[in-house]
Formats: sequence, C-alpha cells, structure tokens
Amino acid sequence: MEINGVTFRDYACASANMAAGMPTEKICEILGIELPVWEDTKNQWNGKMAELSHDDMKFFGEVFMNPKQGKFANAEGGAEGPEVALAKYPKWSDHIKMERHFAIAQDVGIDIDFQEEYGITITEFSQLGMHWGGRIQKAMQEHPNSGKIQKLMKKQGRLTEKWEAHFNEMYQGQSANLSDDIDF
Amino acid sequence: MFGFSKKESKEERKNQPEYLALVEKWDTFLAKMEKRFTESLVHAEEAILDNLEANNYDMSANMTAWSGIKSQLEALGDKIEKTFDDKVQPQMLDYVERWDIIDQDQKGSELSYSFSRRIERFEIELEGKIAQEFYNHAIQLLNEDFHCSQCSGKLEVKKDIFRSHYVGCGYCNTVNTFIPSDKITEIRWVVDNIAKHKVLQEWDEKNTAKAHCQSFRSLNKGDDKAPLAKAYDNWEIKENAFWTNYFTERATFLPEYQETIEHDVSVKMNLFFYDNKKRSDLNNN
Repeated sequence: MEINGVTFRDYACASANMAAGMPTEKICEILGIELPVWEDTKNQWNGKMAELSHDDMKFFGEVFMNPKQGKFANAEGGAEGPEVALAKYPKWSDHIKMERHFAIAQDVGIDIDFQEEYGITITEFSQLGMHWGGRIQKAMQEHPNSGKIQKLMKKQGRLTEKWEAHFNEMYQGQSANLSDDIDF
Repeated sequence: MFGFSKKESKEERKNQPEYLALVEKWDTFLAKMEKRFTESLVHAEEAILDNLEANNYDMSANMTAWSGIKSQLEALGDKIEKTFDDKVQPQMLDYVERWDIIDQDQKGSELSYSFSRRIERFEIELEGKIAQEFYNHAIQLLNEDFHCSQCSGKLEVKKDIFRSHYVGCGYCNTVNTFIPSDKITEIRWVVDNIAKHKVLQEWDEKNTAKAHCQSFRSLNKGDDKAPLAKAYDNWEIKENAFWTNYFTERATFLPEYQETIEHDVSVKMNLFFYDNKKRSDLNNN
C-alpha cells in the first residue's frame, strides 16, 4: 500500500531520519514530493499506525536504530548507524548514565539537551538504548538459565544505583518536596 | 522488639490504648497527606497555566514543567507506602500481630492508589485547559493575511487543517504553497487534548464500567456467566460512547477526520475492549 506514492517503509525511514535532524526539505527531495504532499502523507500514515502488521511495526521500531535504509541509504544529513554513537560511548555504563540523567532531570522538570550534555542527538541516545537492550535480549534467549543473566542483571542494578545516586545528588534542591513538614 | 508481650486475643490486642493511639496518629498522617495532595493539585494548575503565557505558549516547556510537578505529586503516594513500611508497621507490631494491621496497611495503599487515579484524571483536565488556551492563542495567527507569491493578492488559506497545503490564487491562478508557522502546526496535536477533556464524563463512565468487570472474581466451570456478560455489555456501550464522542469532538476541529470516525472508533474498540473481552472468563468453557 502507498499513500501519495510513499510506502510505509519509506515513511518509517523518513520519520527516523527526521528525528535524527534531517531537514524536511531533504526528506521531500529524497521522496520526490513537495512539502504539502509530505505533510498529507505523514498525516495519513499516522492515522493508520494502529492497523499496521506486526512486521511493519517491528520495522518502525527498528528503523530508528539504523535509518540509512531504502531511499535513505545513501542520503546525507540524516542519522548514522549505531556504530557512530557506540564509538563515542562504548560502555553499557555510559547509556545507563544518560538514561538515569534524562529520567531524574525530567522528574524535577528539566529536559536535558543531549547534544550539549553528551555531544549526541536524541536519536543516537535511542540507538545506544536499542543496542544494549538487544544485547541483553540476545543473552537471555541464548542462555536463559545461566549465571550470565544473573550477573548482567546485577551489573545493571549496580550501575543504575550508582548513576541514580549521582544525579539525585546533582539535582538535589531543584525539586520541591511537597510533604517535608508532614511526618508520622 | 524485646520487652513487649502481646495479648492473646485479637480483640484485646487491637484495643490496647498504645495501639489505638498509633492508629489515630496514622489516620492524622493520612488526612494531612490527603489535604496536601488536594491543595497541591490546585497550585499545580495555577502554576502551569501561568507558565504557559510566561513561556510564550511553548507547549514543550510547559509539558516538561508539568512532568516535574507530576513527579512531586506521585512522590506523595510513595511517601505513604514508605512511611507505613518504615515507621508505622514496626511501631504497631510492638502491640499487635502482622495480620492485625492488614486494614491499616490497606488504608495507606488505597489513599496512595487514589492519588495515582486522581493524577491521571487531573492530567486530562489540565492538558485540556492548556490545550484550549494554546488553541485560542494560536488560532489567531491564522487570521493574519497571507499573500500570493506572484501577484500579492490575498490568499484564502484553509483554516481547519493546520498543515502545509496548496492554495490557488483567486486573482492570477498561481498555485502557492502555504507553510504555516510551528504554532499553527501544533494545533493539530493539541486538539486531541481538548477533545479528551470535553468527554471527561464519558471517560469516567467507561473507567467505572471497566473496573466493574475487573471486580468479578475468576469464574470456575459451571459458574453463572450472566452477571459478567452484563457487565461487559455495559462496558462496551460506555467504551464505545467515549471513543465516538472523542473522535466526534476532534472532528469539529479537524473536519478531515469526520469521515473516518466510524473506522477510528472500531480500531480503538478492538484495542481497548474486544481484545480484553476475548481473554475474559466469558470465553472459558
């Protein structure tokens, strides 16, 4: 099925590249359509998301990990593959740190700027998340009852605690405690 | 703790003055938390709505601010649970047995759970109000004049689709591309919240109907399924009413969706009702 000549997979690749900062004009150029047609296409595909097949939805989830596919395979200005983000932040701890930073800042009403804080885009941050999530899932499938999984979980817990403590301290005082004066 | 010997009967244990004093103290604590929660909701609404204008109607900044306040509100519920575990329970256990204080634990959990439900409902109200304020502001931007790139004649842009579109010039027939500002584009997204807020009553009713279905104990083979079937029938009506009215409200802002209402309702019904019904005890043989 196509909408204005754009398949779902083209649309998914376009969305992923857009999220990675590719200008809309470039998206239109690659798809060979003008802006009003692109916006109508985007709108119509958005409305069809709930009806898509499992495979299409899976593709939509994964394309953000590697947006250089299909018509966008050789495009400049979109996202790179996950290897670029991994070269900057190769450790699992790096991603857990960023993830905790993002969540704890949000709890005190602050949206962190990934570019400013870590020099990566939000898409690259997501790519790191998918990379590590995929690694854990794979380990769970390959060694479901081994000590390896337990070790991984322990490590995750330890790192999460470490970074939570770090960012809780960093943002201490930035959030009002609504019930400081109420105690049992 | 050493030094305490607990009474034999439950009646005796629960009537000890020391224990009763702790129950009263716990009730006072919960009442204070309830009051603080209610007051905080009022303050939150004032703060967020004030913030909208101060931030030049930046919805993203406003949502981040709400996210911070929401965490603080949720922390009130967490505090209740933690206070019971760390302070109330250990002190009560000096006088009674663990099973004697299930009702006290329950009181705290229920209040904490009610905070979650009330935050969810409050969020719909708040987002609806913010969205309406934003809409009132942004819609005025569409009332400005837009001109043909060729002859500068006034263009009649569509005022109900809020996205780029082609506009033919009535004077020279040139086809122009109208590209709305970001704020106009954002109207498309905020109308969902306005629509949801407008059907809050239906939202309450479908949640009540759903909760009623979920309150049935598991049915065994041979049990009468009629009461559960009746509850599901009622939920179906309420769920359908919610989505139908929601999409109808949305289409008043975005008429292009008028013709897809029936289809959109059926997609949501499959997702939020029929899937659940299929897995319910109604289909156990």
